[in-house]
Amino acid sequence: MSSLPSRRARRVLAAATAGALSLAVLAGCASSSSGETASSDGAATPLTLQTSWIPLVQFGGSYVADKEGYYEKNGVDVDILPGGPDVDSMAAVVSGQADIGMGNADTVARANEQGADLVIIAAGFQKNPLAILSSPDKPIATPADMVGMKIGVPSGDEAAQEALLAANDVDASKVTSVPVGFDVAPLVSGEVDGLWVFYSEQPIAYEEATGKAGTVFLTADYGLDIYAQVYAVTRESLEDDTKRAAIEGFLKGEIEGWQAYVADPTEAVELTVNDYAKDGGLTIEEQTKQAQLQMDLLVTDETKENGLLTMSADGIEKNVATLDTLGITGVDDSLFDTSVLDEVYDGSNTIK
Amino acid sequence: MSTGGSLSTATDTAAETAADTAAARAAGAIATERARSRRDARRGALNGWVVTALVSLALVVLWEIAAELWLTRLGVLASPTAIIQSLVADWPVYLNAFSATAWVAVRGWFFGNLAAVVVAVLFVQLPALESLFLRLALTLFCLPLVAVNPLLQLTFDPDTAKVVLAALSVFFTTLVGTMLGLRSADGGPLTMVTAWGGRSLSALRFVRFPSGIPAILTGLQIGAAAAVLGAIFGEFIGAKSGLGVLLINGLMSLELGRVWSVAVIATVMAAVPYGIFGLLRRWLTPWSASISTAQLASPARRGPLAARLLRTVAWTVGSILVILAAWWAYLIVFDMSPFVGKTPLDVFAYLFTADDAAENRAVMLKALGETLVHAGVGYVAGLVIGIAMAVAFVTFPVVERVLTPLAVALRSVPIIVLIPVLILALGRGLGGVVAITAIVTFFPTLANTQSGLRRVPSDAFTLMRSYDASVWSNLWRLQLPYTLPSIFASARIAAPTAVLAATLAEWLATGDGLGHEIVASRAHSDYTGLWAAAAILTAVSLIFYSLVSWAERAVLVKYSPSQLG
Repeated sequence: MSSLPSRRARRVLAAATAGALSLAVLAGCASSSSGETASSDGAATPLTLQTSWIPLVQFGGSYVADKEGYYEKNGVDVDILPGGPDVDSMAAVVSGQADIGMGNADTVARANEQGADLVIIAAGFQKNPLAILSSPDKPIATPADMVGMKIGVPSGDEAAQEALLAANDVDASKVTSVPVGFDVAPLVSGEVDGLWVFYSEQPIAYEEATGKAGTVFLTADYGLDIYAQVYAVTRESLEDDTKRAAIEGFLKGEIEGWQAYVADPTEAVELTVNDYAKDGGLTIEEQTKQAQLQMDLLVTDETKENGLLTMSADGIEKNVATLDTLGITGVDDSLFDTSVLDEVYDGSNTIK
Repeated sequence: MSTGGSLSTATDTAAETAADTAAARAAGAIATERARSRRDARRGALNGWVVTALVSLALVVLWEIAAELWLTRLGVLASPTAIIQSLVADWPVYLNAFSATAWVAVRGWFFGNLAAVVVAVLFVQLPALESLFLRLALTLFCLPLVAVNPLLQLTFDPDTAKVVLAALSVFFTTLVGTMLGLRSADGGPLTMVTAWGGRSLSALRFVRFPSGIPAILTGLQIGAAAAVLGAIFGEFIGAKSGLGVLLINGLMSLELGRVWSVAVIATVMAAVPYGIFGLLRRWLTPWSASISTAQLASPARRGPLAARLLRTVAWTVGSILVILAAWWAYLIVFDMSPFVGKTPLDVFAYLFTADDAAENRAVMLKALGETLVHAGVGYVAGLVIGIAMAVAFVTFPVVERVLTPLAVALRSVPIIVLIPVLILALGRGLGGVVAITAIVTFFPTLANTQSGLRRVPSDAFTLMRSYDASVWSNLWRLQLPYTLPSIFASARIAAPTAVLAATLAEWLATGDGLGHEIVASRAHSDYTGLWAAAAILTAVSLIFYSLVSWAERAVLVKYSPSQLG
């Protein structure tokens, strides 16, 4: 299969998904002026973060870090760029448009397969948010239930579907794939029985459109186990002391932002709706739901023990195995670099 | 009552009476008859408006009922009241989105048109430049937006990338329109300038510019809609606010009121400047008839066949070299990272010499076949239906009065907004995509054919009447041949548009074809694949356009040689 991940990631991001993904942007907004920098001497180092989707609470932790001065405190002045269906964060990093790119582990691995030299320094979502959504009247609760069903697959996720079916010993010839775009309309209208979605996004729209909660299962629970919303940088930038210091400062601020988010997502939701995505037509209610669902992806037993955004040796091993299943060549654990996390956490499991 | 009728009344009267009184009476009769026909015309127009208003109202009511009954539930269509409610309740959101998108569109529109006019002047003054670079300009027009958008994002900062995309969307139609306008200058005045010792700059200033103004204004008019399309699509490469962002959010959360409100606003954004520049043109240059944006077919070259062929081949090869050089220059000038910026050689290797070249070719060929079906079937259907409708309009003026406002409104909907809406309405199968390409071909064909039919000289009708020709004979022997240049003009411009619409629909709906291949390659970070697919699509659009041009020349030589410059 081909690159599931990458495609998926992107597509997911892009298309499929719901939009959840990322957010983005605000370009200008993010830059806090250079103020007092705690970490090093002098002015804050400018850094650009390319998010993977239009501004949503999906990037709430970054907004909190920006607004609360967590970046600034750590000596960096972060410009948060919005993404969209047509944005490739990894290419943005490789070509120098951004310093740090957000995407799924498979996106990063796929870019490396094509000649990039990127490393993942932290993982926002511990679980892959790709999920299968179906009607409660004709529920698809496990991959086995997909037999005989019509499944809406956004272009880019075909390989993910193959991988999911193969990993669960489901006969692919008994599942009908229907190409779809980025909305839940085909499921609502009954054109398909199940739909590849972004866990924290389309299920909300589905419930609002139909008045009933859909049946959802996370593909991460059935073998498609990869980190999502990871932070990727070029290997080169970690070898440059100044850049490395800035990246460490960024990650420290980022983790503080997400810690605040996990403690209480209210501020992140408000910042998203009223500030970073001010003109996106979002509502507090729907973004609050998304923020809650997203907790399942951010917080796991491992992060409770090691800290948010961390990557365990076990997790990395699973990722490498899944990426391999997805048909991406040349992946090993060097794709993940935990040294920045180690320095930032410095033996603790919370920042400051 | 037609003028012909008044004249014959006058003639009958004259025959009965003595010479002097006859003249006076005839004059009186003519005056009375004219007044009556003016009254009739006014009443007719008024009736027309009433009928149009009533039919529009009926359509809106029908829409409302259909939406209420089942379409909204199916996730297809918001009712007019839901759209109005959404617009009223969230007006600050829409206002901000509108401002963000409009600001990009206005700048793109300005710079794109400015560049087009400057280039047009250069081309007209220095024809050698045109021979070499016109195909490059056409290539820019044929580039697939789906591939260009991410590449621009990786070349410029986000704001500039959006403005560049909007400018690109405007450039070609204005360029062609302006060249046509500058060339439309009469030979007489031009000869005079030369005879008085004026140089080509004087000719430009005193003759070409004044006669080119109507065409330039037409370019600005058409460009407004294109700039809105470019600006909205630009937001797909990352934006904080704008109509594109609202559209994505609306689709994701299946808020139909939002999606359709965005469609309404985008349509108004395209239609209002269209109307304003149309009025401005009529006001500033009342002497000008309406002008199609298309260039005239180039004159048939004379000389022995072999020499002509050789010349054509030489210019084509020259143009291809220029296009490839421009491709390379873009990578170098903007210092594109080799990770994303692939050269023609990389693409050649990808398709022909790499280890997996055969496999790559197979994938691309299959996708190409799918895209050709999507674009080709819809294109032909759109042309046929567009021409048939235009004929129906002209033959049955009631139909025209009722449906023209609707057609004008629908023509202004930017395709990036139209496609998601049509997908919601028509589903994702082959039918949906073909309908999309058919629709983007249909509206310009309808409008151009209609205006072409209207320009048939009335003398010719009088002649046909004197032969007692039937309606069909009129249509077949007179109206259609006269309209052929207009039909071909829109057919030519519609060819790349149909390919563009097919790729967008493939991306957003069907998941096959070259549009999907481009998105999929990007998802794989397979930028060589992306450039290859984009190059194939561009070549296909160019060939498509050239074939229509060629057919145009062949047909026009036979049926209306006077239209060839």
